[in-house]
Amino acid sequence: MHSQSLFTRMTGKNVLMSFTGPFDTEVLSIFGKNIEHSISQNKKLNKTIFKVFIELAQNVSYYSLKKELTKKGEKAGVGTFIIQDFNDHYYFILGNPIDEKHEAILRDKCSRINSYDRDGLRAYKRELRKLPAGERGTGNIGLVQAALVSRNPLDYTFIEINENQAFYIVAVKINKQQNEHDK
Amino acid sequence: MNTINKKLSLGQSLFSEEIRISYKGPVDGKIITFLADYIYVINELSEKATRKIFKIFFELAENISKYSADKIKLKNGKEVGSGTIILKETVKNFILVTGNPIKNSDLIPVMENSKNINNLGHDELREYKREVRKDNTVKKDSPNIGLIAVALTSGNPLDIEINPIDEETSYFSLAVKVDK
Repeated sequence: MHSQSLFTRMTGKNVLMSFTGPFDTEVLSIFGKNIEHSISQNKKLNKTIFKVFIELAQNVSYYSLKKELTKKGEKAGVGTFIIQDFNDHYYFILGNPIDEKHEAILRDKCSRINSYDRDGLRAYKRELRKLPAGERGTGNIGLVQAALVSRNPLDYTFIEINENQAFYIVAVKINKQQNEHDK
Repeated sequence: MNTINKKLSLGQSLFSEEIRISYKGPVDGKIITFLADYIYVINELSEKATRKIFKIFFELAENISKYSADKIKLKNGKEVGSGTIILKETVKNFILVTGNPIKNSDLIPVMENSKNINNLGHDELREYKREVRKDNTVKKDSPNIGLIAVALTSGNPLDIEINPIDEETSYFSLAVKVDK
C-alpha cells in the first residue's frame, strides 16, 4: 500500500521522534518536555536537543508558508521535525514550506552561519540582536543559536514545490560524545 | 550535504502526499489529546466521517500506548508505548496509519483475528465482536476487540503489514481507510 511505503520512510528504525502538523505552543510544550526527558539517559544531551528543538521549531511556527488554525484559535505554521539516533550523534531535521522568494535569503543566512567559527557566531548573534524587532523576523537568531548549541554546521537544502514555493529543510547534528561526561 | 540529500524524497512526499498529521514517539494521554484536537480542527468533512476518524484514532492510539514493545519513560515516571500515527488525506478518503514494534507472542492472536476481520461482512463482524467479548480467555482491553471496532467503524478492510525485527519482536503496521 502506498501509504505504508511512505510510512516506512517516515519511521525508519533510527527515528526516535517525529511530527508533521502545526507548530503551536502545545507542540513546543508537550514535545519539548518529551525531548527533554525521554531521548536519552544523558540530561545534558537531552537539554542540547531541547534547545535546538525550541530554536528551530519557533521558526516553523512563525515563518512556515502553510498556516493552520489550532483548536485554541492560534494560527500556527505547519512543518515537520524528525529526531534520528545514530551511533555517535543525533540528527535533528526540520522542514517547512516557504515562499520561493525567501530561498535566496535563507540560503545566504545558512551559508553565512556555516562560515563562522564560535566567536564569529557569537558576534553575529549580537549583531542580529541589535536589529530593530521588525527586521529580526526571519528566524536567523534561531539558526545561529542552533549552530552554537549543537557545535556543528547547519545542513540545509531546498526542494522546489512549484514556481512560487519551496520546501526548506534544515538539519543539525548533535554529537553524543561532547555531552558524554555530563551524564 | 549527503545526509540531507537523502531526505529529499521525504520532504517531497511529506508535501505532495497530503500528510495531515504524522507523529512518532511516546503515545500518552497528552499526545492523544493533542493529536485529537488537531484532527478536530482539520476536518473539512462530514460529521459522520469525523466521528469515525476519532473513534478509530482513539482505538489505535490506545493500542500503541498499551501494546507497543517499545516503551519510553516520561517525566512523570510513567512508561508508555511508543509508535507512529499518520493521517493522510486523499481525494476520496482519509487514511490512518499506525505502527509499532510488538512482541511476537502478542502478534499471533492479532494476526488470526485480523484475518477473520477481513473475511467477514458487517453483520458477521458484529457477531464476531460479541463472541470475542464473551470469550473469557480474551482480556477486556485486548487489542483484538479494538481492531474489530476499527474495522466496524471504518467499513473497510484492515491493511496490515508485519516485518520481523528479531526473534522476539516484529514491526506491526496498520492502515485503515475512512471514506469522506
